[in-house]
Amino acid sequence: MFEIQSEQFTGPLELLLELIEAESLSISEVSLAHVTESYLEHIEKNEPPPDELADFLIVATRLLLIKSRLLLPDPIVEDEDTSDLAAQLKMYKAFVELSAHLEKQFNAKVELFPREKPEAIKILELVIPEGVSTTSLRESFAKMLKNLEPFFNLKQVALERVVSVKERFDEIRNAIMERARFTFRDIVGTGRSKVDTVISFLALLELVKQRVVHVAQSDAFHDIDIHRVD
Amino acid sequence: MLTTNIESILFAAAKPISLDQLKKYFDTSAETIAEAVEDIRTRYNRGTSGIHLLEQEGKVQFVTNPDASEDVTSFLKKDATSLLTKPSLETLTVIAYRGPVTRPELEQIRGVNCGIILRNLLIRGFIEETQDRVRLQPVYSVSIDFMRKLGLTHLEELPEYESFHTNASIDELLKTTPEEPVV
Repeated sequence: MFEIQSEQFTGPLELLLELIEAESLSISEVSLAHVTESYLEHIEKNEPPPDELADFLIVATRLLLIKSRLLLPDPIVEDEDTSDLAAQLKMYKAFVELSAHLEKQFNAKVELFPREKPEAIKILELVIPEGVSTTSLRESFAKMLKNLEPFFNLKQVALERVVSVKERFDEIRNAIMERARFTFRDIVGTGRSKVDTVISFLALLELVKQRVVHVAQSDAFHDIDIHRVD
Repeated sequence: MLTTNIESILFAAAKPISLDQLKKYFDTSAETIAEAVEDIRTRYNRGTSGIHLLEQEGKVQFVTNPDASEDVTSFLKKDATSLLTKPSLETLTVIAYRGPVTRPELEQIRGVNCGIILRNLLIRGFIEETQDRVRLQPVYSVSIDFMRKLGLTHLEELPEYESFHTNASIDELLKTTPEEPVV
């Protein structure tokens, strides 16, 4: 708490600058002498924190020296240090002015961002098992493809079947348009495979669904009569 | 080749890299490293480049383009920085323009004991303390983090930097610091 206060406390040079600027004077020995009393008054009223008191008192003695020298027209001691205060204050003022720019930059939100360190995710090193070669990799890939073969074949069959149903559908429909009636055995014949029979049956069901044909079967496993719906 | 490799290292490192470190690694002269870095800077530090090279106290780091700050801040949802107190600001100004600066020099300019404020600025990471082997005491410079906050890729971008950094009359005034630093 104390530290924060002491950091906020006006330093001796800042106080001097304020006093001189309040009177619209430029920085010189004369103006310093002029504000000496206000300076002393100020530190008496607002006692500086202990760790800065010495700095305030040093400036106070330098002010008094300047003032006394101005009052005594023929200075006996020519001390460099007296004129330093004005120069020092001018330098301080210059930096205060520069700080305005720094403050503006700081508040302007023009921050630059560096690349950030990635989160510490340690990925396990890639360890290649012994005996692995390009040949063995190729072999295991070939083996994997072979295992997948039935699956590929299955899809191929399914595709063929879809095509076949569509074809058979058209065949039957064309036939019924010409002949008005025939039986399921006429389509399937005798030499065709079981799959072929199923395809024909699926095509027939589709035709029934679309109300192109009407079907009738006298008993189970008997032939199916197919009539055209007019 | 050297320039390209340094550029790659700076990109991959994601932290400030000292020129000295690069010099040792590539086993070459400081001039060669400086030339390579200058080449990188010339290529990057221009308006159309999203990446700029920041250099401070012999360390370099890739950072974002100052003009992109607003978007980068909001995209990455970065916190806005807190305000600086007047004494902090003054001290940082002196350190930025005069750094590396000793504590007595700093106190000569500010006319007040700066122990506490230096410590606070060190804690906030705005300045860095290093030992000066010639002057045999610690010297202070602003940190790369502080430069980033200011949006500067080089201190020379500060107004009147040269005239204050190397200023004969300030040097003269600073020499008249006879007293031991206040402990």
